[in-house]
Amino acid sequence: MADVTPARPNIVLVVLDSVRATNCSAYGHGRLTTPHLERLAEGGALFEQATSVGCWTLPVHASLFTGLYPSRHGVTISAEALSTDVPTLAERLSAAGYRTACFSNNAYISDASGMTRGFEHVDDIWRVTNPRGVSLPRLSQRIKALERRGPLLRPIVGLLRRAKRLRATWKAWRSRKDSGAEYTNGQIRDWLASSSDGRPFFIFVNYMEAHEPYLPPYPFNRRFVAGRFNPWRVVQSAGRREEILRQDARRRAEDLEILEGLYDGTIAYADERVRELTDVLDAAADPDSTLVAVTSDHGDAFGEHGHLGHRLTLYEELLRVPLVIRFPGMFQPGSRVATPVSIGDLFPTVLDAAGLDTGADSDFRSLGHRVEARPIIAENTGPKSIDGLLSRTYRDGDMKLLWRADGKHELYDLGADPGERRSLVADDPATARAFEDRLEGWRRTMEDRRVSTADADYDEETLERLRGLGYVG
Amino acid sequence: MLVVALDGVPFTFVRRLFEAGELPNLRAIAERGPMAQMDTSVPNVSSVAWASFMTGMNPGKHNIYGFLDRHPGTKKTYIPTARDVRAPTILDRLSQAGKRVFSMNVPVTYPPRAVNGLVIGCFLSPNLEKASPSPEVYEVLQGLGYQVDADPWRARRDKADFLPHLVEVFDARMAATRHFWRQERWDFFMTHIMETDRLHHFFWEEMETEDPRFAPAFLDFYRRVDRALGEIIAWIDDDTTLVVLSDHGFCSIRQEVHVNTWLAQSGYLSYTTDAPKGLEDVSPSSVAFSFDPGRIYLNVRGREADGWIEPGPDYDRIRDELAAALAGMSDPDNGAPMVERVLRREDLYTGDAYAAAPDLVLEMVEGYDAKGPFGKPELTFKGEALVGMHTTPDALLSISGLALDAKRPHIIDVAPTILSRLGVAVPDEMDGVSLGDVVPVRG
Repeated sequence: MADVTPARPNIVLVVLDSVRATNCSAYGHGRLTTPHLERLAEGGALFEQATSVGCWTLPVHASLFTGLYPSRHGVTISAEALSTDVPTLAERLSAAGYRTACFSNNAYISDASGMTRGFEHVDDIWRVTNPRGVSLPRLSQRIKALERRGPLLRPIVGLLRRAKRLRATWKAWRSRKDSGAEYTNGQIRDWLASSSDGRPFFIFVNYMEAHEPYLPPYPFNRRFVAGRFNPWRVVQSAGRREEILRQDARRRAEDLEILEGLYDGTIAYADERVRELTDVLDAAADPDSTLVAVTSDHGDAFGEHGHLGHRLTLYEELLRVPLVIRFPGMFQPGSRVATPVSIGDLFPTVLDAAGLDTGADSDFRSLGHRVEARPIIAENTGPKSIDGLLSRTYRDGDMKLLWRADGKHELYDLGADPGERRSLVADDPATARAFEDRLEGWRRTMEDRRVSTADADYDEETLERLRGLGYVG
Repeated sequence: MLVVALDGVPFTFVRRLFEAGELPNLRAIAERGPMAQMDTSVPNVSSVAWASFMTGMNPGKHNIYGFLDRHPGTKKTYIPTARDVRAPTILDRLSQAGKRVFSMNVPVTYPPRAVNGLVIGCFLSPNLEKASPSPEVYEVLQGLGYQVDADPWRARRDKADFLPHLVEVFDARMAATRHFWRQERWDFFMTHIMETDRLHHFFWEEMETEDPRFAPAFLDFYRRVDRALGEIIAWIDDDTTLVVLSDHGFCSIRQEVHVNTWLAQSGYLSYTTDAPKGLEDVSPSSVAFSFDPGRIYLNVRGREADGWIEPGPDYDRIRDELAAALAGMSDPDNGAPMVERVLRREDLYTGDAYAAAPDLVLEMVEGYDAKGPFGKPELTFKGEALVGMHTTPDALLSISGLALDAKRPHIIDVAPTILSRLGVAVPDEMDGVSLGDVVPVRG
């Protein structure tokens, strides 16, 4: 008798780390940063208002992999690991007969955090890439050796360092070295070729190209940076962080312009690598039976609300990310979905596409059906820096409450005020109050259903031996 | 390249034995690669020292600060392992360059991770199965009687009974070393001997005081290690670089010092219970607590679970006061100073993992061993079982064909030296400096 079980589709989940929607041409950005994402969207669906569940890598990926909000999966600080009680997407797919592989350029996706659980093949690309780009090992070694000879040499060491920086700038400006995407695609190609055994595959990829410090390879490093800025000037801006925001207005505007130009360059470069990846995939398997989802874990700020990069806040520049899914069996090619969705929805969507139970326990819903409007929630969980502040957002329609642990809540109408410049808490206290109550209700539900996180590797046998040696009290 | 790591073997002690005509094989090695006294990491415990060796970086980058750490923002503690190492090790870098690598028992390589070759996990492995990278390797190790580590509790119960056990563990380690060395022609092969450190912890004082029973046994154990080195010398040809190193020195313990007890007695630390056991019992109003060995953490807001000290001027003022008070810590028996220096985090560490660093680290006067248990009633303690403690400046390093004797290397310099010897570019982010081009010894 013939096997009537339909073959399951291949699944590829791509996270472009730190890419915000507004800088993608697919989302109306004035610069052509993502032509290939646009092409991918022509064969699938683009979600115009996709929102992340948080503002930094670890909790967001844990949500992508579990279908739970950060408050529930509990992975909210760097050193916490995902509880082994929660099945991951890779485990679910693996159990259903998938060949699973994880290619991550971001170190949070590791055995330590439990994020790689369920993947048959884990390629920790972050261990072998050097995000700093150019290195001049021998010269800096010699300078370092000089420094050890004493304080008298300090001026010379300073001079040498400057000269070295100049040279590094020059080399970086011409360098084609990226943050690991090229190598990643090679690894994926090899993996696909190495052991195709008839099983469908699930590939997770995280590309770090657009992550700070925004160093796109040549020629992407000059594509969107105005010619009036020379390389030295550009590198000076790229090397600095928040202090940029404290300069006088003209200098600040220039530095932000340069940074955003570089950022656009990194996105364009990542987009190019997405094209290469889709070419590899489409050569390896039938495009119609391969689901490709491209999204990001969070955005970045370029001076909005007084911030740079991704720290602490839950404004739209951090939350709004691209989301494109190509899978003709489920999404009408060329469709655009205006209803706000959460990227947490990817977990049930993928299971749905694989013909698996989407999990009654999931906090999210599959996007493979008519997408109803529903409240969108995001959280800033673990204080990531020393002055970190817990916060949450609750969005219904265009209204968005930003709840802050210090009680200074904010309310915005994203339709009339997309830049979130004017808080309406005083004008519309009733909405603020209602949203706050609903958010509190949601928080309680999450707390009741929270899974405990695992203490990464706290083994009694090891502990006992360390006690015997007097190493641990 | 073949690397033999002898945990805790002090440079000065080995030189003394050379002068007495002992350890002919190690002496021969020290002649091929003139041996240097080497500095090590702060703190000077094996996890930190070997992680610094493996990465060529300071703890501010590799993130291993001791045998115990706390999850930021919580009172949950954990044992840092390879999972917590935030930087690529030389094993990763050599693999990436296409070299075949082997590493056995080097601290903080548990859980073993995928490399171009084999990694067998270290003493942090809960058991042999978990130390093994594959069921096949597990079977081999089990067949050789290999053990992850000697059982320290046997020494605590009966020192005489511990010595044969230690010999057995060492012999099996050598058998496994032999087995895997023969398996293929590795580009980089490293084996780590933990047994010397264990010997020192339980017998260093007996050796120094010439205890009639244990001092000869101590020397016998060293002779056994030296015979093994003799065998290793015979394995290698002229093209193989031999590296022998240790990770810290040793001395006798005068007193173990319970730093948390001092903090509690001085009003910097209080507990929520009468019988505190761990970090979870530290009261929110506390100023600071300590983890072994002499790592002091201030109760900083946003970083510790109940942190209240504001970063900025408040933090600076409180830390200055605490550092000054700690510097005056004295032995209650005779008033002798116990603290050599109080080091500040910014003078020790730099890198992406800096946020997790201790605020202060105590450099103790030799013989005073800073310990981290909570709730001990007595400030100092002298036990019979544990008699040896680590020292910082007395590790040793020998690399064949490289005259190091006039240099004063640091343990972080070894990784860049290994990479450059094997023709792999030394990345800029390494803190260590290559010790020079190695000239192979001919004839």
